[in-house]
Amino acid sequence: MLRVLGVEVRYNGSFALEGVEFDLREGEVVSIVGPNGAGKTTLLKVIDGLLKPKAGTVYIDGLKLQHLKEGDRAKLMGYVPQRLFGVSGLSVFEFVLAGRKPYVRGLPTRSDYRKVQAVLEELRIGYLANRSISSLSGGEFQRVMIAKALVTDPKILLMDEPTANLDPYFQREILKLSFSLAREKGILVLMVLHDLTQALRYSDKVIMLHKGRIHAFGEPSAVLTEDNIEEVYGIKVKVLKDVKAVVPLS
Amino acid sequence: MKPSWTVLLFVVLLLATVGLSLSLGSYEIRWGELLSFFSGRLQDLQVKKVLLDMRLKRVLTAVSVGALLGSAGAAMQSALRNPLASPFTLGVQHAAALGAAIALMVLYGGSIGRFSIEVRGPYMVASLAFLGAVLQIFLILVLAYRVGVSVYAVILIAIAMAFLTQALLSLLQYIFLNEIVVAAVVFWTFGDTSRASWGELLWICLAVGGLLVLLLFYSLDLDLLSVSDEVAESSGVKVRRARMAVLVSCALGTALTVSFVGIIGFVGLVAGQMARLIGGWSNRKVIPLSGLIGALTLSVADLLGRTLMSPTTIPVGIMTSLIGAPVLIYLLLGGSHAQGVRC
Repeated sequence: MLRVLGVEVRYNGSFALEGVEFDLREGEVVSIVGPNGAGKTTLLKVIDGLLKPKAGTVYIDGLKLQHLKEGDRAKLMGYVPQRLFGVSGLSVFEFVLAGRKPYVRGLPTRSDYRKVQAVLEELRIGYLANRSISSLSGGEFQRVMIAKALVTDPKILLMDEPTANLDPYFQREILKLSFSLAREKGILVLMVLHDLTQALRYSDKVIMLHKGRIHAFGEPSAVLTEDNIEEVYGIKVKVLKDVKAVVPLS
Repeated sequence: MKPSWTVLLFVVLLLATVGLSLSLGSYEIRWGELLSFFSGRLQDLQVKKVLLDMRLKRVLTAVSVGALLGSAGAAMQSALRNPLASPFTLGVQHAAALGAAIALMVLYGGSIGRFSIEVRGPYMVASLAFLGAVLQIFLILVLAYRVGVSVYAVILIAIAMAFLTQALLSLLQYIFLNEIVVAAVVFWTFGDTSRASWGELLWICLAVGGLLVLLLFYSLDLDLLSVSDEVAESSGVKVRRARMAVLVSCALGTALTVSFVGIIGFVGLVAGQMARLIGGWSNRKVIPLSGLIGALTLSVADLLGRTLMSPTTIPVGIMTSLIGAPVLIYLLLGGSHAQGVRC
C-alpha cells in the first residue's frame, strides 16, 4: 500500500535521509523511532508530500505521490503535526470541518457538517465542538487533530510524536485509538515515537532510523533489541520481553 | 447576545445610519420626503437634486467602501496570520499616493482654488494612483513568490516597499517644493467619500461583490492558513496560490477604493477584529460580518464627519482614524477575549 523507494533528502548539503526504503500494508501500526535529528519528522513530511525528496519515490496504492494533486493526496493521507504555534481561535468544529477541504469546492455542504459531527462523536469529543482550538489541553488537542485527519476517510494516518507532552493516561488513549483505527478501519498508521516501550507494545512494525538511514526495520521484537538500541542511542538498556518494556540500565 | 441577533442589530443600525445620512446636513430632508423619493413620488426637484447629486452617492460610497475594506481586512488577517494586518498592509496607499502625486505635480492634474484644492484631472489622478498601487502589489508579490510567499516574506517586503514609495513621494515633494501642489497631494490622501462619481461607485460596488464571492470561495483555505501553512498544505490547500489570490484580490480592491476616495484607515483593521469577537473565527462568517461592520463604521464616521462641525466637513479618513484608534487600543488592552488581538 505504501512503498518508499530510495528516498534522499538533504538540508544544506548534508543528508537528512539517505537510501530510505520500505513497504507497508494497510491496517498496520508502524512506529518510527530514532534519536533526535535521525530524520523521523522529515520522513513523515516526505510521505505526506510536504517535502520533496532530492531522490527517490513514494508510491501509494501503486500511484506515484508526485503525480497526485494536492487534494487527492489530502484525501489519502491525514497528517497530525507535533504542535501548532499559531493563535487561531477557530472552534473545534470549524477546524475539523476545514479538514474536509479536499472534498469542498467553495462552501461546505450538509454532508460535510454531518461527517464532522460523526467523527467528533466517534472519537468521543463532541463536547469540545464549540471550544476554541487554542484553549485545548494536550490530550484534547491530539484527539482534535486526529479527528481533522479522519474527516477525509484517509487510508494513511501520519502522526508526529502523538504522545509527546501527554500524561500516561492520554498517551495510552491515543495509542489505543491508533490501534483500533488500524484494526477496524484498515488505516495504515505511521507514527513517530520517542518512547521505545510504547513502540514495542503498540506497533506491528518498527522503523529504526539513525543518521538519516534505516538502521533496522521489521517486527518490534526484532528491531528493538538491546544491541540495536545501544548502537543507535548510545545507551545500555534491558528489554523485558515478558512485560514488553525497554528499561535504561544507567 | 447571540451572533445572529448582533448581525440583525448591525443591519438595523446600518439602515438607520443610511437614513440619517440622507436626511441630515446643511439642507435638511424630512423622512417623509425620503420615503417619497424611494417610492418615486417626490415632486420637489431641489430635494431630488440634493439626494441624487450629493447624499445618496456619498452614502452608498461609504457603505460599499466600508464593506470592501472590512471584508478585505478580515481576509488579510487570516491569510497573513496576523491580527494587525489590514487592507493597507501591502502599502498600496503609499504607492497610490505616489501615483497621485505624479499626476498632480508632474502632469499638472490639480490646482488650488479660492476655497478648496481642485483636482482638475480626476480620472488621470485616479488612474495613476491605481497604477502605482498595482505596480506595488506586483513587485511585492513577485519578490515574495521567490521566497515562497511566506507570511514573513510578504510583510517584510511590503514594509520595505512602503519605505521606498514614501521616500520617493518625499523626494518628489522636495524637488517640486511647491506648497500648492504639495497641499493638493495631502488633500488627495484624505479619504473623502464625496469624491467618487456614480461611475466610480459602480466600479467599487462590482469590486465588493466580486471580492466577497472570491473570499467566500477561499474561506476554508483561509481557516486553514490561519492555523499554519503546514496544516493547510497537508489538508490539500495550494498555499502559495491561495495566499496570492487572496492578497492580490484584497489589494486590488483596496487600490481601487484608494484611487477613487483616498486613504481611509482603521476600518479594515478594526472591523475584522470586531467580527471575530462577535462571530468566531470561521472566515465564512467573519468575512461578510466584517464587511457589514466596515460598512456601518464608515457610514457612521461619514455622518459624524459631515454633521459634527457643519457646515465644515471633516474628511471621513480622519474621522475613521479618530474613532478607530481608541477602539483598537481598547481591543489591544483586552477589552474582550483578546487572544486574537494580542500579538
